Amino acid sequence: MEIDFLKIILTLLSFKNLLAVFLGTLSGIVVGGIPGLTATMAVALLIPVTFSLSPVTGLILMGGVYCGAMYGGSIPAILLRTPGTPAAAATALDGYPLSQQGHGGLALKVSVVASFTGGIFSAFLLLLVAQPLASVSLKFGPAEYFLLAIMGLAGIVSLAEDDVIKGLISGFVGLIIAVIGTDIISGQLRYTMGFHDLYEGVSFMPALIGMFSITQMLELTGFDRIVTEKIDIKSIKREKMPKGRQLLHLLHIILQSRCRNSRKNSEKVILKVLLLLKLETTVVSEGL
Amino acid sequence: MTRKIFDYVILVFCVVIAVLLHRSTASYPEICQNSTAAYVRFLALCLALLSLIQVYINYRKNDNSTVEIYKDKKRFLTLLLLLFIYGLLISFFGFMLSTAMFLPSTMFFMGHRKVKTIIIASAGLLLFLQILFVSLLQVPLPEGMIFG
Repeated sequence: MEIDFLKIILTLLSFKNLLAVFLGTLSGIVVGGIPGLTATMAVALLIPVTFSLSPVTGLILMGGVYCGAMYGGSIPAILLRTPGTPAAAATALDGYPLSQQGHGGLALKVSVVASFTGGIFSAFLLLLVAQPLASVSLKFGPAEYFLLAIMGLAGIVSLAEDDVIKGLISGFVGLIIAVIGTDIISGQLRYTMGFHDLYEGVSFMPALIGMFSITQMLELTGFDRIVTEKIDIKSIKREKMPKGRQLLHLLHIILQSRCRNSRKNSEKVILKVLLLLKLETTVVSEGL
Repeated sequence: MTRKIFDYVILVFCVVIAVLLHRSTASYPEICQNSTAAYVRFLALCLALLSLIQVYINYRKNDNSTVEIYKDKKRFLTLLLLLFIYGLLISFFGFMLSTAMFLPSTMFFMGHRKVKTIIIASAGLLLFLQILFVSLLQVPLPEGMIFG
């Protein structure tokens, strides 16, 4: 099949489609910035709107909303230590300390660049491997699920560098929390304590908000403000992106996507395990 | 509180959870005794074992560092109490009314004394939530037993 790239580019650069990108991204950032509303939810809410649009414009709009929401989630994560979307949970670990030091503007700029490069890279990667990935995902069975779970547990060892036992304990606590809900074999309710909301297990977003926001609220009771030093707001806004060696260091951090300088507490490790489990579930379910 | 004692409290709690979890699998239906129940028992055993290993490591380790749970005891406990009351109130008065009570009282107890700021912030947030969730997204907010 011959692909007319010029035609594709001209279609994408039409005013209507560019407007769809702009509006989609803008609304995505707003929705993603509200803790509790995920990127997937933003796209789902938008589906009725796309019925009146052409398929290309509709898809562009939904893509814009999704990408905007993925970035938008990092705004409250950096400024308030409350991830707007589950994907922004790791951003809070590194971004919030920067806000506390008065570098919130820089953290937001870095987050934009990281979201953009990550989004572009993953889009190209998906373009290249979508077909083989689809065929592989159809072959997923219990053994592959098990291997994914092992991969998640192996991740704990690398994440909890200094305290492997505590990391593993946190991992098992995460697995035990995942037991809550309906048993898929017998249909029996496990540890739901009569709460209807727990029938499908512990939802990820409330768990994230509870883990981050409530602890943050309680932590802030000891302070009058997030930024302890007196800092000029205008200087935060004008903060420039790092250059040269600093930029290389930053890229290194982005590529590593790790939280070396963050506080080493069990909350972080539990969260990572939950994230890994969620990631695996998403990979498997979306793959299938 | 020293970190050692704090860790012991958490680890003992983990062991208790593991024991209760293991015991609870006896009530699982016969059909899943060799599948789900076995998995849960495995989790419970691993948790208990790892917790006991960590207790031993802590016992051997010479760590005299302290853990600061709160900086301002009064404000910390007040917020905890307010959050607890808020959770209870939602089931009685619904989300909007209980939030309308929770927000100003929390701001007041956390040290804000400007009545105008408290009223504007609370009303603004409630209005935003009403417009966004109820009017735009049509997501029903939790309703209470007494008031909707």
